[in-house]
Amino acid sequence: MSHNNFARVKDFLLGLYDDEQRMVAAVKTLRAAGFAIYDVYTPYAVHSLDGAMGLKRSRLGIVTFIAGLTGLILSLTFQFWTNVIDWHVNIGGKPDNSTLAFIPVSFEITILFGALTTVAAFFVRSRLFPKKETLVLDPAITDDRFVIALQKVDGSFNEKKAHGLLVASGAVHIAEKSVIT
Amino acid sequence: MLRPALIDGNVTLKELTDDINRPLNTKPGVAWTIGFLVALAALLLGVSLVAYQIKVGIGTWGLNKTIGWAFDITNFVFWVGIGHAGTLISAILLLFRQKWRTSINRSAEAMTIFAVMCAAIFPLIHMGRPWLAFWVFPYPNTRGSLWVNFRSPLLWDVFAISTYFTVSLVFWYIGMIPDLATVRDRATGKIKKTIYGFLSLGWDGSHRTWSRYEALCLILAGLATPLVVSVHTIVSMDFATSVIPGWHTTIFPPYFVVGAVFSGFAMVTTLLVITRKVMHLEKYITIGHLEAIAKVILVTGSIVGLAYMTELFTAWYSGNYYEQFAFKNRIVGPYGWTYAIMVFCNVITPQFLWFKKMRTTPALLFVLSIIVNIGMWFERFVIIMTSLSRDFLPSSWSLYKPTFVEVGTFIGTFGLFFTCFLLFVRVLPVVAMWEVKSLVGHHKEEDSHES
Amino acid sequence: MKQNSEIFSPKSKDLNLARFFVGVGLVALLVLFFKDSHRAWGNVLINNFYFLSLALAGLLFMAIQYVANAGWWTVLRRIPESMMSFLPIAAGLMFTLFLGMHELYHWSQLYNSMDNSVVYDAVLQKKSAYLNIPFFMLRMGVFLGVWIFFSKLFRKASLEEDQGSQSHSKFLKYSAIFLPIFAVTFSLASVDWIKSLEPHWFSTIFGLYTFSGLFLHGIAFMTLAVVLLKERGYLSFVNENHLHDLGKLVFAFSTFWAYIWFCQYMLIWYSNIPEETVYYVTRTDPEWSWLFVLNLVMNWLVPFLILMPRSSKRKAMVLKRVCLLLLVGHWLDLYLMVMPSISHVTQVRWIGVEEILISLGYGGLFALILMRSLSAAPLTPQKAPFLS
Repeated sequence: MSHNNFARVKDFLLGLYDDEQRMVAAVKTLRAAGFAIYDVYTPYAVHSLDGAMGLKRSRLGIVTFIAGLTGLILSLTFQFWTNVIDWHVNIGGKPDNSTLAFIPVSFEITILFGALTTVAAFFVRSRLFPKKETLVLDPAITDDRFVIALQKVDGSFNEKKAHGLLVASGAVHIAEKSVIT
Repeated sequence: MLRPALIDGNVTLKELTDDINRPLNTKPGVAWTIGFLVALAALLLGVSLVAYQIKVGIGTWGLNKTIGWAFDITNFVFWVGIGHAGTLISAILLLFRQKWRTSINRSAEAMTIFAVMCAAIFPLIHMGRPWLAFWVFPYPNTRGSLWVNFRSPLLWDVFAISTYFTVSLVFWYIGMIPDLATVRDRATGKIKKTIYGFLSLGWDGSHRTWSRYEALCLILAGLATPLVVSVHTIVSMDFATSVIPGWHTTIFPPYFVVGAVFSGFAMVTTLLVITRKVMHLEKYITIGHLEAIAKVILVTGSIVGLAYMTELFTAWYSGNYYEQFAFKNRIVGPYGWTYAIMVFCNVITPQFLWFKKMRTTPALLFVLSIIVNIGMWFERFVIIMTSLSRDFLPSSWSLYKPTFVEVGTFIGTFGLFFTCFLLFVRVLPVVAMWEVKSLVGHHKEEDSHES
Repeated sequence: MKQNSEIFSPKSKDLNLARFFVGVGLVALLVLFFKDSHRAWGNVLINNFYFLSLALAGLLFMAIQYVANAGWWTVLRRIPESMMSFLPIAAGLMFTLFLGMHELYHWSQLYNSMDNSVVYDAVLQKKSAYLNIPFFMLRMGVFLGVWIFFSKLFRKASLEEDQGSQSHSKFLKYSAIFLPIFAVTFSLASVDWIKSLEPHWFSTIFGLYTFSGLFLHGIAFMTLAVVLLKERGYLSFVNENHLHDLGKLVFAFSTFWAYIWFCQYMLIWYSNIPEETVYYVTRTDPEWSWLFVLNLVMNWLVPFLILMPRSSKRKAMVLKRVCLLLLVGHWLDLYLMVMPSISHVTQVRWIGVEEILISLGYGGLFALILMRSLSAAPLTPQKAPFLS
């Protein structure tokens, strides 16, 4: 790995935990002590972390709503256009504009648009894509370890205090890591 | 203890990772190999018969002028119905916060996808010229543009099934990403590492991602729930929008949905009783899970029974001669024996599930689930066949018998289904590890609260 | 959780208002009987069925929650319990229909009169084995009797639990027995009381349609009751999460109702069979059609759009308004099931002052019974297993 001039090195202090509760308590303590939590890496979704890390609620629902509404309007207009304006065919004596009969297809398109767009938005927002260089700090994260990552921001980071808090809160292991971005 | 334990005994997160990952990194056992070979043989039979009937034509089936729909549509509805349990378990039970779903949702969703694949084959080959299947999509063409008929329930089916398949596949994959990362981190060998690495999209367990991920899962569940209801609703409308007695009845949409869930849970039982044994997952897929599934079968089976009674009562109450004849013909007509099988399998058999012993004995449940599967296949056969074979005009009455080609194709879809499922249990984590882990973690939390 | 044994005591202001409504409603009903007895009986049927389903919804809700082994609702159990305490009175009111048979159900005249005043009707002759007054009244007695019996069992077990007896398995057993019985009896009851108003018409989904309405407005009422009790300073431990759960149920069942509504309407529209379309021909007639559309808007579109965002399911004020809308909406739904069916004998095409006053009278009576029942036991179940 060669350092070029544009690369920035991020240094991290990592606290490894083997227990959900102790980890969440540690996050709270660290935040109370004024440390910014870079991220927490966990084997499963820990609900209480949202509050502990002070995360905002996801706004993905708005994406779903807009995409679904778009799908609904598009499919209704398209069916109306094909049947009433572009090429009307008398089938079984049903009126050209049989809105009731257009509802099932419109419903499906609404769901399809909503689902696929939301998933795409999630991938983009979370920067998940194949071949991504993962920040996997430890393969044990996908097993049974919880890792609190604190970024050593130049100047303001009190490493000694952070280290002390991690130990006191029950970290089973403390490590350092540098990542080149 | 009001709620049964979700997993048997105390498992650490590490043991859980190892247990679920083990099949992916070991050689298959004898049972698996035999099962796979049998499934593969059935699949090959199906493939060759499909090739044959495409070459020769639909004349190889037992259809005639009166009966234009028979085995194919029965099988189509049967397989789509089976798919419904997977979405129900993964989406609806997620919305209802039923935690017992976590051990079984992965395999149930896999079942959904494979079942929908099997279902889609039938309308496709019934087209006769499946290479022109893209004609069902509305695209600008040189024939006018002559658009597809948006007023036809058959077209609604196209949209319903393809949306259902797409969304189920996406939902399944999304739910698997964290587990694929777990597999990636444990994979031995470069090829495996590359493939799982590719599929897991660089998942690193970041909580910022987890937080969004959970929101995404809830949204997808919220979308999949009405979707799954709409799919069998639309399938039922293939029949219910007609004017044929026995087909046109307003209760069809909800009744088909419940029947689908009923048959799907039966298939889940069939698969899980085998899977937990063969893959040694008794600890994760517990008797408690089987019992919960059994209760769903009892409830949905009883609702299906109620729907049968409602149909019969309303046929009488309608005072309509044709309605009354359709149902009399169903019961005592030439296909009366299929009606008897249907009632026995779908209404009477599930009532045994009132007994706890029945709900908690895997072997008995297995037998019962097979009976229900048979019954639900016959239900569709009864609906389709009895109404078509004797409609308004007695001079056109006719009977139908499936040919070897049709039976073989149906067996072939079972081959496809089980081949896919058996491959799935070997190459993908069969239990949603991250979801079960969150339960294990919370259990631990509760324990430490008490101490 | 700390044991909470607060007792509800109704405010005299609320009690007086309810009593006032009962009085006004009674007067309005009497006046209407002299003006247009068909319309009066139509109103009696609408409100009887409306408040009977409200009471039944309480019983049904409890049974479903026990079977599903759900715990979150336990703190609210007294509300469905009190709703079902109206059942005996609802039953009494239902029996008064005996006096209005001929005004409401024209099949009853066929059975009753041997003279030539009624036109011979071949279809109704065929159905007379089922649609005849003695059998109709017998069924009514059986249905109501069974429901009252189960409501008493539930209430008894609930009060015993307060005294410390283990009622959980008892509840579970009652619920498992009650649910299939309910499914059959309620389907038939809706055929008898509502569908047979138009005895030539039939629709297999009808029982499910009335059921979806019953459950939706039962939940809407429960939610409203929770909010009202909270406004009066009770149920302080009910938090946003409880409201959220109720809000989700309201949202889900409003959509479920719309789904069933769509299935019935769409299939009948699509197949276009005269025997079936007759029902909707009347209702989409210009005189009724605005109510027909309003029904869907009130019971589904508006609640759906308002309750879609998570935040609105967690706000008591929003839920209160949506639930009020739904409660009125369900009344409209029943009005549309009943009034157009008897419109060939009554000239009413409009919801008049009489309709509103009579319904308020019934509402007042229901509220009185509900408040009495709520104050009869601690507002939170004591010693229920899920609370510990």
